[in-house]
Amino acid sequence: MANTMIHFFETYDSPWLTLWLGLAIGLLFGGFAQRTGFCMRSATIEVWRGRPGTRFALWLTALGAAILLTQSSILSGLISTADIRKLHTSGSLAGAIIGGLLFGAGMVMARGCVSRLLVLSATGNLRALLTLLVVAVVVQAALYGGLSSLRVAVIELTPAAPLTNQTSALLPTYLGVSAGVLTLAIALLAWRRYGISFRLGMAAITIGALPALAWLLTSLYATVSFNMAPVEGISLAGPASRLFGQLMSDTTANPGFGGGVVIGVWLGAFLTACIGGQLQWQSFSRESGTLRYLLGAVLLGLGATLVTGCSIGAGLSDGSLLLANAWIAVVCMWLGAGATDWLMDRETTVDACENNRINTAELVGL
Amino acid sequence: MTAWGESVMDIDVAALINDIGAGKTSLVIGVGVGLLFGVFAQQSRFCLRAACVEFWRGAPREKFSIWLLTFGTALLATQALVETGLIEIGSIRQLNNAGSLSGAIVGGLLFGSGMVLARGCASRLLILSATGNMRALVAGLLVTIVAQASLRGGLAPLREAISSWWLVEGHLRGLARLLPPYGGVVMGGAFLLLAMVFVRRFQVSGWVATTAALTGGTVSLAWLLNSQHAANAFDIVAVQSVSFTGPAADTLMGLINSPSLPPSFEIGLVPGVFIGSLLAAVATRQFQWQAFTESTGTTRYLIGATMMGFGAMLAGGCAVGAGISGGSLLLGTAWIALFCMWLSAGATDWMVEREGYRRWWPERDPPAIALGRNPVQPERT
Repeated sequence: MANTMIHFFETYDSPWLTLWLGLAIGLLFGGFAQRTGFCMRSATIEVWRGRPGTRFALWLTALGAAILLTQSSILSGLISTADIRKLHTSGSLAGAIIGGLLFGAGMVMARGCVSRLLVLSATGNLRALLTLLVVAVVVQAALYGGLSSLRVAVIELTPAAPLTNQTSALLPTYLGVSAGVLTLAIALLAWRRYGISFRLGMAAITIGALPALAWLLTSLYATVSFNMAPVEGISLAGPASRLFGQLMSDTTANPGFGGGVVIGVWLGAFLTACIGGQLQWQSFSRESGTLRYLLGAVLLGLGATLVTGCSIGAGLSDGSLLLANAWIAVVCMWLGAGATDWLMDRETTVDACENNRINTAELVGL
Repeated sequence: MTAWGESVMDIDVAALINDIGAGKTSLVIGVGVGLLFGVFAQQSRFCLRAACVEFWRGAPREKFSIWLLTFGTALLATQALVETGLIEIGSIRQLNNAGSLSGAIVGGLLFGSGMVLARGCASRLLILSATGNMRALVAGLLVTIVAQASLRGGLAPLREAISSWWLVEGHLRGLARLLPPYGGVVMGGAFLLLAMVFVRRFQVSGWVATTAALTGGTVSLAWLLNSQHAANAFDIVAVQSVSFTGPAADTLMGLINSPSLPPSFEIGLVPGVFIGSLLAAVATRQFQWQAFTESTGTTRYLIGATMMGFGAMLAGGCAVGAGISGGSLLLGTAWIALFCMWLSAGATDWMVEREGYRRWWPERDPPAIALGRNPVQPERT
């Protein structure tokens, strides 16, 4: 299988090949995420309100699958960790903690993390589309523009710690795989408990398999290609804002693997929503609020740049590499989301937007 | 330049520029002009969209008078300054470089439609967003993003194609050559006189009328200051006046692409207007949070903002940049763009807010963009 892929890469090697790879993976991710309603925000809210359910089970399943598949690919040598940049650069503890908290708060306020917003925007949700636009602007500003000094200041709060990015090197050999098996086993118990059908469960496993597949394919490609191609998992906040920047200034540049994933996720979600008759024009209302989305978008953008990843990029992709920073960030996302939900949305249901009750946070929601 | 102009202006301006540098001088002019424009436009509620809507509904009233007063003042003051030589039209890009008539027509039509849908032109959105209106903030952001994409990004090829349909030479763009000497001043005076009649007839308050006139005056002031700056600086300085879509796009790109902004007129103007409007709104207790609701609609704002962003880049300016600033210079393409804005604003208002839709498709419900029908004066009082 790997040899077939290597042969394929050697035959069709071009700078645009990674774009097509990203597009294919993105299409699958977008499609499955749309159909399953995959949403880390809902998972965190379910847990914090003491009623873990479907969303949490799906999230855990995807996480377990991602860890198991990525770690076993690393163990079998299919993914070469030497080429993964994040494993060899130092990460910032302060960035992961503060960024994670901000991101968690942002996803509750904007009612969706970056990947969820991308999926929702493809199904006709204008709130998600506008929120994403603001996220993209903020990410660009935090990476290159007026907010970059703030980002650097936060990152430098703690000394650069190279070890925080190399957990897997410190752990016993089979620990990664065991962690994956354990997570997946708990997830399977949750399937039974929360009545998740086999099909739905397999869809969640597919979602988790896609970051592993992304690592695998880009790693194989990097070993054979003459083109400089980074080894990447699935990441959305950074590539989405880069794509946005390109649309505004330079449309000739190659969006690369990451850009392909973003376009793919959007198209995939759009297609499955089309087929399933789930396209629905949704806009702001008095109940949904406006300001909370804008503030949430700013927090999501800032958080994602500090963490260097969103709930998918840091959570599923980097998490499956057992990157310590990513795990710290995900824990902080959970904490931030729980605290914000308690502060703002205590009295609404998990699917707050479909609910017609007015938020307790009338002041912020407006 | 007349002797009077030299004696008054040269000493101050040249000294100032040499002290602080051309870029920073432009920035200071931009911030100053922006603050003034923001305060005056917020206080007078100067709004081309509302003026158009009043006009086309056959009931020109306060909004129409305010717009006419602003336009008349800007035209009279700018033309008077051009006649005295204080504004040197030889250094103004729009009057010397080739322009596009097709761009002015198509862009003007798009912009006019867009401002009715988004309930405010680009400048109005900026001013409203500083008074706590989040609809305007979101729509304004989208106008800016689309404008940037039309200038250099994904929409640039389309813009260039439409612009190339009908080009016009630079020296043919000035309408002044068609008029007798002092024709511009006379025209400005006539507009102002007409505006005065309307102001009296519709009992526009003294404060509103004064600030409306000062809004127009600020546009002339910007031409004057930038022209004097260009005449006295060693560096090449672009002579420009108040305009919104281009400068907003520059400001946004500056904010997201570089840690620090190179100082310029545009970079000062947009924040200046925002702060001016914010201060005026807070001082007069008009600051009020406003969000999207079912009755305001959301889609119409997004469609309108997109049309305005693309239209303004095509037309060479927004309702103020082309309409007032370009118009006050008697720039032919700007007058055509302004005319097209008036036409399509009226047509769109008729289609979306009035009986147009019912008459064309009597059996169907109005589309989502027609949600939130509003009377002539939708803003808070």
